[in-house]
Amino acid sequence: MNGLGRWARPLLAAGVLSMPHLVAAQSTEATDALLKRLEELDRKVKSLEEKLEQAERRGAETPAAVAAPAAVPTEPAKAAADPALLQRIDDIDQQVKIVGRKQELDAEAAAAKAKDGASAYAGSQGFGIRTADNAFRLRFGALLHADARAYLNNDFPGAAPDNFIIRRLRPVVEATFYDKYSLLIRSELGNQGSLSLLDGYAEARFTPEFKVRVGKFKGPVGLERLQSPQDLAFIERGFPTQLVPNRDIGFQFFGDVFDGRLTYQAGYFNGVRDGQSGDSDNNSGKDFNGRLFAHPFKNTDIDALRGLGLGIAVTSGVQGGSAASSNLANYLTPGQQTFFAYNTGTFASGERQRWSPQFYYYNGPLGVLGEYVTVSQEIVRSTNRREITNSAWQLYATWVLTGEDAGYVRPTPRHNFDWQTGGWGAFEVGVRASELRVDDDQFAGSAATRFADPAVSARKATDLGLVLNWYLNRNIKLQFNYDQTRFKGGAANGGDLPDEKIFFSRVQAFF
Amino acid sequence: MKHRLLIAAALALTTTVAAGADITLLNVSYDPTRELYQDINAAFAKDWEAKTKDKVSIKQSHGGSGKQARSVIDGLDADVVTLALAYDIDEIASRGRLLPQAWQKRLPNNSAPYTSTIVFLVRKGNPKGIRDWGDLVKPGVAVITPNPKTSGGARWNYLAAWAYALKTFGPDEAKAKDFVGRLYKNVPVLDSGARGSTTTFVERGIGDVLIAWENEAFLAVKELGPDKLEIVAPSLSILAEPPVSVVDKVVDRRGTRKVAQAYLEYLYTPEAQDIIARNYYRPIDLKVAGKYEKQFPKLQLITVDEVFGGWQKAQKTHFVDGAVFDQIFTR
Repeated sequence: MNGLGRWARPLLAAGVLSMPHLVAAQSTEATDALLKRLEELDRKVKSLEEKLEQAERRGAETPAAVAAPAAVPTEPAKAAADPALLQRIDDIDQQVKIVGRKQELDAEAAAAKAKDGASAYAGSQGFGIRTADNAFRLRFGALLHADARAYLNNDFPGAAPDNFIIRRLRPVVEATFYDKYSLLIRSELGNQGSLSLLDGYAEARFTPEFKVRVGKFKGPVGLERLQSPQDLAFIERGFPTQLVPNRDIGFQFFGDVFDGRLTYQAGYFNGVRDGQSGDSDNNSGKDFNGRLFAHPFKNTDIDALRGLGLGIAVTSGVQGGSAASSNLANYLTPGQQTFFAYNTGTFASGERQRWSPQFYYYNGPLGVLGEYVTVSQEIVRSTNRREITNSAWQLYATWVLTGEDAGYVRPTPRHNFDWQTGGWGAFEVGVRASELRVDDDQFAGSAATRFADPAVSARKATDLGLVLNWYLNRNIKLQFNYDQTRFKGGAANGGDLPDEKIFFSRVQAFF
Repeated sequence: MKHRLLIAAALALTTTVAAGADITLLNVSYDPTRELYQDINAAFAKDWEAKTKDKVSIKQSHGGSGKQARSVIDGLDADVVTLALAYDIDEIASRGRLLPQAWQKRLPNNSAPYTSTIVFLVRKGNPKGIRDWGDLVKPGVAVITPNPKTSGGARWNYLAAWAYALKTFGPDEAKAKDFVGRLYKNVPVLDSGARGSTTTFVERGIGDVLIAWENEAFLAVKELGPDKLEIVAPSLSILAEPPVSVVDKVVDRRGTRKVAQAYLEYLYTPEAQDIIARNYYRPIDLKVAGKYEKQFPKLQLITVDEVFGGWQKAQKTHFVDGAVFDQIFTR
């Protein structure tokens, strides 16, 4: 390599001085030894140079005519003077470079390690802190649903006024430990000023196939209920959601098997009223909730069917109530107005079972979701005891006009909305049909014993809804929703409730 | 009626938040593919925009292949991975569960749109007379190669040396182990990736020979000139098949599956294959391969499957903690 001789000393010295890492490492034993050797060589090189200079001077004093030609030594001549020494200089030169490079790599590794330490992050997925290996994480998030509600038919009994409402304001904190365990706390600050613990659970993910969750969370039954509110296609969920549990307290085993093609959930809960959440229990009866949901064509080459999901869910338990605490729920219109209510003194007393076949299908911009729920419950009022069965279904289809992929989670716009660059986000339209039918036996019996008053409560509600969703980006969505609901019964003299016509809009902010 | 609609829309329209950019993909790749994917990305973006009118920008992340795979498993949001060897993507499938186990069947040629091999890079004039693997174990020869624990390229290097030893000394694993052990005794610096080793050899002037990806060796000669470096083709080398895959869970979550899939499929087109060849990777398209035939030296190439029984077995035998490499490289 650098067989230099006279030029070796300054070059090596410059090399050493230009390596701050080397200077920094002078305390190390190896570097000290190396530098000592370098100094020795430096002295030898200097001595060699002096000898060569003396020889040159002697040559210059000798008359050219008589003296043997003693030209100024060339580099090869110098190398030939002491090749072993020059080889050693080369070796030392390599060692100096190696030491320098190793220290350079150590510095790079240290910098990478520092960079990989715990750090804050921010993005469309949210904000938080995480360690370099992602095993410990703290995530902060929030969801706001600010709605504007316009009721277009004031004939509906007790029609709500047009209003602005904070439908949801839900801060969430989730901590993850050792990558497998987590604690989530989500509270509700919206929904007409209520303040409550919405979700609070601990979770252990031992393997993808076997996970456990304990605390308060959504019971694994309704397909649309299980969909996160930020991903809903329509402003309010369809009728089937009113018949399935909302948040309940208990525990659940769950996981994905067959390479993610089948998801199972099996839990044991206090048992809550149709569509409701619960923070306490008024009886010792408990509900088993179970759900299987399959993606039979996931990971196959059949693109058209990869987005097909099919499932069935069930709950079973014995639930009781009392005249003061009925353990039964009223049912609401898409405008959140009551269209079916139990008479005072009616309460749950006995076995309750729910079944819900469900599916969704996503293919490119097309999304279709359907579910059916039936709930059977033994009910008592005075001397009247019956098992009644209520049911509901919905089917909706959405289409992302701007071509993004539809999904169970909201679409990600290809071009975020931006005045300056001209992006418009993603637009989606949807249509939904939904129906809830209550058991005719609800109205059987005398006024003193029947469960519901046919002059006040409808037997059936059928809704047709249209929606336009504008996804400005992953975090902001605007929704415009028109629903018209037709009723059977619910008015005096066997008449029908007037149609409910609503126009709701929503601003969603989520992170 | 009109005022109601206006009220209903009022709140919605009061908040219009502008943010973000167009579609972005992240390609997490191995060390020496920087230049290749810069060219590919530009060409694909142009092609995609022409077809769909959508703008796509592809970000690149490079590092040792094994290290990159671990980053993806640990949460780096890669839409696609283009790594040095199939084992690293297998790890993302099995440990990270981010894509199906059968990922390699989804694209042609076992999802490897190009191949490469391992050659030697020496200084001009080849002062140490290095011609073949046997010369790398001689005393006084400093060999530069990265760490097989972190670098995919280094694992190809290691296995090529092992295969040479088996061929030279017969099917004697002990002799092969001794040979490779002596080779690594001549390695003064272990970088974490192939590009780092190139820096060590070319820019820092350390060592007599760099065991390098063929494309990396060509690139170094192109940049520094044939008056500084020479490529030496050994008598035997290994057929490297760097594979590519979409990372299913990431693209499904980000909604980028379609464009990510198209990006990888684009690698198989004649245009991309030409770019691949121009970047000194061996194209699999026969027509393009024929066009660039003279560019690549003809080598006897063995495969991991035929000599080592596949990557899973090779990894377990040689590179996991406590395996052969840890036994021979103790410092």
